[in-house]
Amino acid sequence: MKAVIAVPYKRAKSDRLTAGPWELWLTESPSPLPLVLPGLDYGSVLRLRREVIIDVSSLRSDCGLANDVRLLVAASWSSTGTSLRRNLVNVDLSSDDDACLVELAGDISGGDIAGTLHIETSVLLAHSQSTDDPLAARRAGSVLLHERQSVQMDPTTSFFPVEVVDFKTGLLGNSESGWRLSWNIFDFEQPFLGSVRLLINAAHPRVVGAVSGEAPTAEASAIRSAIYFDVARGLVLGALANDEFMERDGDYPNGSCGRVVYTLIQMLFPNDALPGLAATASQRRDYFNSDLQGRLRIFWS
Amino acid sequence: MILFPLLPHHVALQIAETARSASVASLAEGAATEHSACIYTPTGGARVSKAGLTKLRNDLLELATSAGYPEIPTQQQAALFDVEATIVLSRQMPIAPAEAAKGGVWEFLSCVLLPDIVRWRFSGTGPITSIERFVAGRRNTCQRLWWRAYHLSSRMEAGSQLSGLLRSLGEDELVQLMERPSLAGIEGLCGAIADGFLTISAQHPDLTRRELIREAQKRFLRLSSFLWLESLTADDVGGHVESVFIQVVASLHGTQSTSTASV
Repeated sequence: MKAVIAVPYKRAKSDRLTAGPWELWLTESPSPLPLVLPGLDYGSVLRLRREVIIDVSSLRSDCGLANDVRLLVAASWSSTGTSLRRNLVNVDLSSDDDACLVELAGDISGGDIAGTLHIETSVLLAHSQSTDDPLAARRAGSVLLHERQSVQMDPTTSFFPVEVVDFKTGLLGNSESGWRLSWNIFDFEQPFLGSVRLLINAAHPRVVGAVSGEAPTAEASAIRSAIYFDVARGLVLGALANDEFMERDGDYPNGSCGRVVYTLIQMLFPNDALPGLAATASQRRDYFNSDLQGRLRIFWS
Repeated sequence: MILFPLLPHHVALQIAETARSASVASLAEGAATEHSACIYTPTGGARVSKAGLTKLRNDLLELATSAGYPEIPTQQQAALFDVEATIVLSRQMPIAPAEAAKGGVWEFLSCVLLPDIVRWRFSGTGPITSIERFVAGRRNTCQRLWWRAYHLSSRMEAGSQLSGLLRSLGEDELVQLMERPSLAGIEGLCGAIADGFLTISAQHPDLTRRELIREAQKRFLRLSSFLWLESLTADDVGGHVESVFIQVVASLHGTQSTSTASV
């Protein structure tokens, strides 16, 4: 289950931060940071800049912090593909004005990021402090306020990755089979859409036609249903048989295999707990498969 | 940046199924610097040369031989190999983290370039090597070592510090440090926790190291949800690390006193 975070101190209201758009400086003139940024190679550098206005006095009041407590405005980033979390820039918030303008600018190496890039803008407690207020933040780095923007680094990730390949070599599976789900059942931390592939046998014209056509025929719809069921079954059964997946109970980063499959299971079996499902899947596989067929409503459209 | 061959996962899986029970000698014979199914990341660096791959294989093979290859290694030999191999991999694989995040890199190394070394390194527990040592993931033979070096070296200036840390930490402790990528990925945290752990465990030999690191990691995971540790100075991160270990020691001493009292 994804953890709900309740912080042990008072945070500021979100309107204490007014953030301008992130600007991307790939050439001499800036452009707004897009939601999707394809084609970045390892040698590229993302040069980012934005301005934020912070209502410092109200923020201190919200958080119960005295005027002499040092605050930082920080921009940091994390990448779902590499699992890295890095600082982009820190600026001391020295003013106590109602509206303090801060410029944030920094670089991210293209080689450090993959999957989804999250860029956080935060106001933090600069150093640990002791205070009489039991609800005031006291640890260095405590997040008092934050805002996030996300950028998708790979545009193909909005679709389920499908590759049409020739099974003739035998390396990919039976040369007369129609498809194969290829995924790494041992690494649920991997970005789902970067590590899962539906391989379609290029030598099987009916299956290729079924996944290629925009207005499917009845035959194509049936083939799609069968593929849909097979993929869902492969993912669900693979996950339920994995000890680590069962232990972590959905505690995976967004976009990872673990998170996506956990969400799929929750959507398909909203009222069932993982241990019960795993027991059914291993002890009554025939029932489980039939139940899954019904929940997916295959062959109905 | 250097680009390594990427072996498609379904091909790796097929090779791994056979390699996991094959003899070290037969796998050594089949080891190669290329595979027809391999692809490369299209841009972002120069492809590793055949000479580079051969050197990587030879250097790792030399380390393995020093640690008893092809005979089944003792736990101590395996640990020694891991330390030295971590340093070789980090030096000879100057790849971007985004490249290292691609499973195909590690599957090429484990299934094509070094299958005999993988089989040898993990041959101790039975006649079959776990498939996880060949395919990509946190337990992949080379992937786990490369990322160890990467995370432990972050914010470090001297390479000798990495070597010292690797020699001082046990396998279970290293696994604990890397277990949660979201924690290991925070710049400088992994090395700081490792340093803090070694200091505190030396000061409290009465406490089991396993308990110390496990309990501390749980606390760091909780803290990282509301502390942006990546935005702090190394000193401030060090302060948090020290404070967490002091709390862990107090908590474990409390537990031990309670259990002693109850006895």
